[in-house]
Amino acid sequence: MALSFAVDLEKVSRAANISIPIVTGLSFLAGNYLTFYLHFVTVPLIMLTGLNLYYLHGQRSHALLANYGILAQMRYLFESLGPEFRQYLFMSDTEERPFNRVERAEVYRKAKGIDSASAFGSQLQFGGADFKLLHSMYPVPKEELEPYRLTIGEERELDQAYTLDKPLMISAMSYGSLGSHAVRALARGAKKAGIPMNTGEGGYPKYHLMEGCDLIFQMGTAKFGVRHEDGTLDDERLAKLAAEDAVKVIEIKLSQGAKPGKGGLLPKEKITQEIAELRGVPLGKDVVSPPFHAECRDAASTVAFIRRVQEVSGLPVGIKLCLGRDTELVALLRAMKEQDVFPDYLSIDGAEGGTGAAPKAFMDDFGVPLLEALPVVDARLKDEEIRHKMKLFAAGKLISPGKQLIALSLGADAVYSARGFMLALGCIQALQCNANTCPVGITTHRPELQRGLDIEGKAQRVANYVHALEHDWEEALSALGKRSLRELSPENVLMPGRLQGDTILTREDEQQNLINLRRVSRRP
Amino acid sequence: MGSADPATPKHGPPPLWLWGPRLIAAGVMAFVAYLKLTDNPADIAIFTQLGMEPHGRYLVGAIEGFCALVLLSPYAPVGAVMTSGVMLGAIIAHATKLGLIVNGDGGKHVGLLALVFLSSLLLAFFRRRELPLIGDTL
Repeated sequence: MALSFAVDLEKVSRAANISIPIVTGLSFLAGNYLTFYLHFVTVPLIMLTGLNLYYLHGQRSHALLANYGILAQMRYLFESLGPEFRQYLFMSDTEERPFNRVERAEVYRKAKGIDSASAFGSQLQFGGADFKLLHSMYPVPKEELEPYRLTIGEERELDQAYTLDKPLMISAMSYGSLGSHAVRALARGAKKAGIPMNTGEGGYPKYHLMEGCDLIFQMGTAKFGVRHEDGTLDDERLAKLAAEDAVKVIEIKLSQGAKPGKGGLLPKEKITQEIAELRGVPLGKDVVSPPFHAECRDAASTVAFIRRVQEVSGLPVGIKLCLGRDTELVALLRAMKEQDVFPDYLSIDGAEGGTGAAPKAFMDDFGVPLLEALPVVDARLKDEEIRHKMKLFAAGKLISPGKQLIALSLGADAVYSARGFMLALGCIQALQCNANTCPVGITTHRPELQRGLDIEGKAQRVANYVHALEHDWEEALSALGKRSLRELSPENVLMPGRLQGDTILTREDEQQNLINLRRVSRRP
Repeated sequence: MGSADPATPKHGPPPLWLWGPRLIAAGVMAFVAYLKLTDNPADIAIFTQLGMEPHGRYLVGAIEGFCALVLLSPYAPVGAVMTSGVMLGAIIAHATKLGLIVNGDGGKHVGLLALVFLSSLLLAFFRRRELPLIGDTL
């Protein structure tokens, strides 16, 4: 039975709609006959009456306002405050998306150098539907652990091969999607932590270069910074950029997890004079990169393009993509074998990857999620017997040490994270990256909002985050019974629906396996 | 507030000619605020007639000065609504107490009032979508 004392909103609003003009009239009379001061009330009431009449009779685009008048404004007010209310008051610690409070709190604590040990038990749901790490009964003593080393470009015996000594890199975030303070804080933090940073597809990496960290230059489909007018590659400009000391690796972005099959997007709100110049684009218009490289129309031409970039730059060259159709990946790998050209690494971006701005359908419904894609790609490389020809990187919500180790076990040689580092910078997940209104000054170019982002302080947090992760990797490695991160394998991972992960990789089972994975790997 | 959809249409920059009404309204408001706050005899006469001398005159002068500042700030649409409010009050005064011709000025005072009222309405109308709270519904 409905509550008998429930407020009848219709009656209340009807009463309000009648009383507003009456009170206005009374106020007018009182101002006239008592004291003129009362017209300070009359004037706002007249305006309110006008607005209410417009809502009730003058407009047709808001049904609530047309039916109930000014009182219905409350709904719009509460709706606009909804995200804040939910985040602060009503959402539980494991509910928010894309990162819940438990996940974010771990990064915040690591970045601030606070111990992230927690009490009583895990906040996560244990339903056998998630990937877990499998420890060994015989942990390895810590002093027997071996340091991590990974040399990109060693397969081609490059003079300029680049060696990572941590399995983590800052993923692609351009100047444009981020403001200058955030870029500099990340770059300075990367330098302190000794990890490389990807420039994102933002043209000449002016701010990335300021702090002296190692850079992976990303060439997106629009090739900002190294393009001809028509969008094709300008060899000369690429060679010049590759000659910069800080630029160690070139990454060709074929597609991105958050919007696979679609080019980068920078909303016009975020395009300043400087960004327009660095990218060579007009002001006042959304910048939409083409969905593909002009040079890459099939597997053969894509491989030829990889070779061209390798030859022009002289640096290690990798490709980044989000897995779509498996058959197309196989065709690409075969074209590599035919032409005997291999990228120095293949970076798999999971469909759960982040972005500054992307159409919702692409964010939600396109591409293969990382933990499902990674074993498939690793298996395809092995099937084609070219796994030893290139490194494999993974990206997509890998912000916690456990998730990073799972990716490393499922075939990745190193991992990328972007949002983990944004959280380390103080991101509060306000979800306004596309609007130039980031309240903590990360994804905005407005000076008054960037003011709060102290470059030196936040750079230290970035470094703290990396050091705390390193500590956790070592602890975990010892527990997994492995001596180095390179030894991790699928046997370390409990995959949903099966006990031993390594059996997943046989070719006969692959289709069924993918289906099984899809079915059970969704978190409740 | 938290719209993550990049396809949401945004209002473009306001047309350049809106600077005309904006500057007219701000200039006149600053000028009349100055007159009221410096004991201009014509204003003293008006406010005596309204029974608000001297506090009402100072109050209105302060509000007008504030309006001029807001009109020149990034919150100009709010300033425009406030200015039209002040003008509405002035219209009430002329309609009920003062008449069209004040102190034998041949209607100049009322003419100026109409000019500012029109200017502020234009500015408020063309930038109504930037108004806080109600902007999205207009």
